Amino acid sequence: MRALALVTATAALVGCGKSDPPPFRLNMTNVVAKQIAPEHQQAIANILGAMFGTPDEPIALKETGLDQKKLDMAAGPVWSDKVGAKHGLYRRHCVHCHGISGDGRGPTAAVLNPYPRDYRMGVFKFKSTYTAAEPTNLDLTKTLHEGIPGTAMPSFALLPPDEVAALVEYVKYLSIRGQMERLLEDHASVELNAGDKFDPANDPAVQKLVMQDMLGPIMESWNGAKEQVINPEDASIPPDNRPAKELEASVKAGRELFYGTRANCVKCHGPTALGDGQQDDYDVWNKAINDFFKATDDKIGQIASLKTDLAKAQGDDATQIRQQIVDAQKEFNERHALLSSLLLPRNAIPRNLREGVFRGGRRPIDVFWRISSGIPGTPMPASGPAGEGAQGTLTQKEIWQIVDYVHSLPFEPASLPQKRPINASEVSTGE
Amino acid sequence: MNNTFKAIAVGAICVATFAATSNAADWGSIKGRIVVDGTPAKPAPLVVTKDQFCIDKMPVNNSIVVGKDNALENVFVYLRVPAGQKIDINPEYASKEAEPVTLDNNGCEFHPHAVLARIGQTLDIKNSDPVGHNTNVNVLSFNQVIPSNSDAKVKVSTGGALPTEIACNIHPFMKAWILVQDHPYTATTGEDGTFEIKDIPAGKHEFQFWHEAGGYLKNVKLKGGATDKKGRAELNIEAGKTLDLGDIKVPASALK
Repeated sequence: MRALALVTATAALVGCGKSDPPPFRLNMTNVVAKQIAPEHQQAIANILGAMFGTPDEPIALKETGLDQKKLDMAAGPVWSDKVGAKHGLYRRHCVHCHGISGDGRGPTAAVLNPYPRDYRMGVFKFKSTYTAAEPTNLDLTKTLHEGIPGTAMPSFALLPPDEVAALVEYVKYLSIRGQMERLLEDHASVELNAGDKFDPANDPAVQKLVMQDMLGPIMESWNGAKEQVINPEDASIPPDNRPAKELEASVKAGRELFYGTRANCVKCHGPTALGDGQQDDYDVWNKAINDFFKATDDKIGQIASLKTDLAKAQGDDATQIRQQIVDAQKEFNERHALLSSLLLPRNAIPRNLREGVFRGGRRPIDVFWRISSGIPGTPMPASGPAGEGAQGTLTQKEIWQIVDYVHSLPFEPASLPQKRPINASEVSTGE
Repeated sequence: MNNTFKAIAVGAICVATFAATSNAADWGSIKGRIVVDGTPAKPAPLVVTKDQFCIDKMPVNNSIVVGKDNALENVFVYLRVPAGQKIDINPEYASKEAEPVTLDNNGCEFHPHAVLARIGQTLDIKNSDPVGHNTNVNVLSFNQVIPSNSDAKVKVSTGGALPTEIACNIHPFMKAWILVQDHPYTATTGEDGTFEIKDIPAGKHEFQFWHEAGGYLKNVKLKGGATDKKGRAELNIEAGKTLDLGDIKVPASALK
């Protein structure tokens, strides 16, 4: 008995030292929703492996322009070398929320609100660029440096700059990898039939498709981000030391826009600016999960109505309907098996602007960017132009006026802590 | 790129290009009418709680619209060009490409409900309502405030194999669908369930049938066959002729 216990303990110790390195995992909700055949799931994993490597050994593919040294510093297990240089930075600082694959599903994700960002759509909320553009390196660096106020995302301002740069590179790496994964899923789902080969190593046409048609546009978007930065015209920018009267006039104009029908901020942020307007919508990350739940529910009804059809059908028709029922039931089972692993979708709640907590930063230019290009992935629309030379809804001057009003909101009397109403009887007993 | 997949790419990389030579007589058309066989489930009524104007307009759930004689509206019917391939474009379409595609916010509904656009076209988003909307076109990563009686124009530069959703986030009950292709051989069925695609290069092509409530319209019987599991059928377009598919019956159970 004792010997057995010893053996078990030794085995456990050995097991600890030699645990398998964590793998990248496919996005299973997408795999099931897009009904990707097992052999094509394997093909996608192979292609991603060839292009991006593993969490312990990432590849900085030449076509991505990523920096191998930075990736090596950020990836892999946590350790420090003899001179004290740190390795495995992503797993040291990020993985417990953002997950090995950058899916926003680390072990702490379930207890956080908002949920940690899933990088795999390549969509980032807080950035200086036009709505459709990727963030710049500086945008991601700023998010790491400042953290995201009002959320669990802390500041990493105490890390040396080279470590922050390595993490920024790794976040881009996980995003680009995730964007590729999505395109490969779409391709497998739409273009391939069961048994079709999907192997770029042995098919130049597939190689061109993967490297040029898929990776090409993703990299164009990342590499072009710096040209997509919204720089307000100097003339539109209010000076720092404005006379009080001027600021007051600007706040008033901003207030009118906020509650007016052109900027229409009131519709979501509410007549009190507490974020109590439209609260029924979802951001793209939660919508994907919500749609998955809904479509799974719909399958039940679909199977029921197919069974009604089957009762009336004969011959070939009946055979075909029976097959459809089998297929639908199989998909339902696959969906159902995933449900318990999903975090329940949450509505996108518009920001309460009276708290003075601005997630993307509280500098005037931060708030300007939020209003001008909206918040990508969320219901918050752009009020400025969609790109260089496009027509915005509001002028830059008007956006600055809303910035002034938004900045004034936390200091309005209504935003300050409320005193308990004086109760006359309490006052009298007090004396 | 050379080593990524350990591919032996010595010599000429053969890239499939579909530049079939053609002359004016080499074009044909396709048409038909899509009808529902049976009575589909009624779409759930919309929950409209914001903006008195919208509440008064009583917008309806357009996810399944069945017209006279069981005509099924808003079915996307289009020629499917496999990834990495190109198709000849009839010169007749050149002038149409320069025209903008209009999407109107009207009565707290999108008009049209099923939108077609070609890469390179301009999408002109109007708001004819007295209330403000925003229009969120996911496939274009576009989401802009559209105030009352104004419009916003956006260049259509990204597409996809299937239609995707258009939404208004101020009024989340508002939905429309857009299909963006880099060719003009697309159609949506009208009120009477009919569709027609003209001036298609003669030859065999795969056609896709898709509806927002039914997804891929699979196992639908067509003249001389049926659509497959992905709602597609290979059809032969003959030069100078119109392939008339007649009435195409979609079983009500296919529309969830």
